[in-house]
Amino acid sequence: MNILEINNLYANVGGKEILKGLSLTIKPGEVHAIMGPNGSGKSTLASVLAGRPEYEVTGGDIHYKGQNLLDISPEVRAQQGVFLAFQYPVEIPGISTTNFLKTAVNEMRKARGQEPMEAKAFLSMMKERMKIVEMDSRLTTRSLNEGFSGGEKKRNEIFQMAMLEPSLAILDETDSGLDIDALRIVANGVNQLKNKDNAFIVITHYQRLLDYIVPDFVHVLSNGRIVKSGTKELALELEERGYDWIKELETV
Amino acid sequence: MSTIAGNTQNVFAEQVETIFNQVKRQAELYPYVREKSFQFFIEQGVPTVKNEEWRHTNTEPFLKCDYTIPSLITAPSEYSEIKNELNLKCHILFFVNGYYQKQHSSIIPDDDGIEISSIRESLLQDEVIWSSTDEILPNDGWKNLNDAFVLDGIRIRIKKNKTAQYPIRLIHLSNASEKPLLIQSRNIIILEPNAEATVIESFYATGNGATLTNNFEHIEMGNDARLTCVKLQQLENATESTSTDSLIHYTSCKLHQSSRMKCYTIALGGSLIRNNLYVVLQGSDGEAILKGLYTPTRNQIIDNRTHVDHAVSNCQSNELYKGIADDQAKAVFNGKILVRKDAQKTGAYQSNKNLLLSQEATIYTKPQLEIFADDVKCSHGATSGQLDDESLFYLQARGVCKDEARKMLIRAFAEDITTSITSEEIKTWLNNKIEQKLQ
Repeated sequence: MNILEINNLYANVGGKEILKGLSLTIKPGEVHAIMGPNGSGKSTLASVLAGRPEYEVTGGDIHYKGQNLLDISPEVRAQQGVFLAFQYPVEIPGISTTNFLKTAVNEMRKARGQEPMEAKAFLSMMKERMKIVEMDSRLTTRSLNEGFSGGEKKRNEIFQMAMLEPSLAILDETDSGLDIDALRIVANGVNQLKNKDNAFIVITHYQRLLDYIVPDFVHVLSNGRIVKSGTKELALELEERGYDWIKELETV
Repeated sequence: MSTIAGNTQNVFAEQVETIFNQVKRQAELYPYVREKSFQFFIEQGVPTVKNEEWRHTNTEPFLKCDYTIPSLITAPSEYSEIKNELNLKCHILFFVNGYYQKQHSSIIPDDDGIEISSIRESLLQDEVIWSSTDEILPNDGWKNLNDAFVLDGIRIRIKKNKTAQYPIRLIHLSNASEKPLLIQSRNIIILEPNAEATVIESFYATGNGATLTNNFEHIEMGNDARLTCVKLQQLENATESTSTDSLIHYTSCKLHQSSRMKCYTIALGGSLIRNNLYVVLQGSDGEAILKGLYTPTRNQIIDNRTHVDHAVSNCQSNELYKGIADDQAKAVFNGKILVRKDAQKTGAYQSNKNLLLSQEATIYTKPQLEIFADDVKCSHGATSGQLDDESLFYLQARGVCKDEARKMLIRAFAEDITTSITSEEIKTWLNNKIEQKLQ
């Protein structure tokens, strides 16, 4: 079964139409990169998939593992394995990363009819998964993302992803604001989590990340639609030629 | 004064006059002070909304009850439940309707640094009971009413160079079965030089009748004394749809040289709660840390007035108050820092943050900073807002349902009020109380 099927999707935010007939199919084990100029709709796609309330779908449909995703609340999407790594992770004073993740993991277990995790098992799982993104264990006792550097926030997103083990992970410009070392760590984390049953959507503005996370498909988004799809070579071509020729494609 | 307001005050004054005659018969001590204070009250009344300090809290509706003064009654059945909710060995001082209940109180004998006596017992010898608060608190109708009526309360003394081995827990219970009660009591806490103590005060209410408690407290801290003071105010019953119990609470604190006070005021709910916390730093190198949380729901009003007076140099004050208002509730914060001319090298910080959980709830905040010295570090700030949608969505996107996400964010907002309490037992007890209220 396909993990995700987007069919002729239209969506707007604040009355402005952003997505205009987007279609995309993702199978288990695949990594899809979505590239495109600013304002082309990349982050809107991520928001719609995660169920951000301000985004209104006006046409088309999305099926996740065969069910209509648009009928499901954001928390249930997450419980069923949809994960969004935020472009701008939120700082929440007063909630520690550990407590936050304990709640999240147990809410997901509850949704699957499982008992809450034992404190000891949870802590050893945390310890193990933190290694994947080389995260400083002291960060987990601090308030969620509060005072974290840009790189620490992004690593925390990938760490959460490692804890929650999603079927479909959407990385919304996770590479933005990362230096080369942080980029390598984040990419390395994703590569370790990749398996034959899950899938990734990697949204990025630059080709750089794709040197580390090698995509099976690259899609170019422009003016709310996918205007060109290809393999990883397409990303290199974009890097070289820029996005202007893509815009011309669209008008043809 | 408008006619309606005037009438209410007159009716209140008439009622109070009747019961004042009963008081005079009960306690013929210090008749002069009582009479003088009573006359002041009759002339001035209690502060109305015309008074800037009371602008957002109209007490008129609370004056309309046909109040009587409480008689000595035995402890209601809720007593042991209240006592056991805090799992910590403490001295327990129990009060019902302002009267000290010796038979239900327990003072642990081996704690030789403390001396506790009821005000009823010490009225004869202790002029300080009337004069201690005069220079710090505003001379208003509530104070004079309390001066005129006070019949009981407690006087706690921690002796020089001694540390109270166990926290001192004051449990104030208002209990009116039918007739509305006007409860007036007073506590005096004296820490002699280099003494140390933790005082936990809780105000609870039971019974169906209305009560109005007008409670005064004076804290005197000698050189190098250290005090942690925790006040929990919960004059509401979760099963009742409306609370009928109100509290007017004045605290005056005098801090002498190098003394340090931490004061936590947790006002969870009641028909009306008005806190007046007046702190004077009058010896150098003193430190006052004031934290507060107020969480009115339904049609409750919680009003916090704080006043920090830096009278001398080299003192620190740090104030953090947070409010969460839901339903049709009203929350008020009015905090003033005064740095006098001689108070050089002062560090004074104040922060007030508010969270509105409903369209109909209201928050009034008024931070004030008055500085007359030139070499100081001071700041203040106030914010009011709603739950952050982006944070809510973030939690939801991690599988936490919206309702639970809201609760997590509300709890997180209140979290840092109690973090600096060193006793884990007290912190856990308070956090549980807060969590129950925020459910």
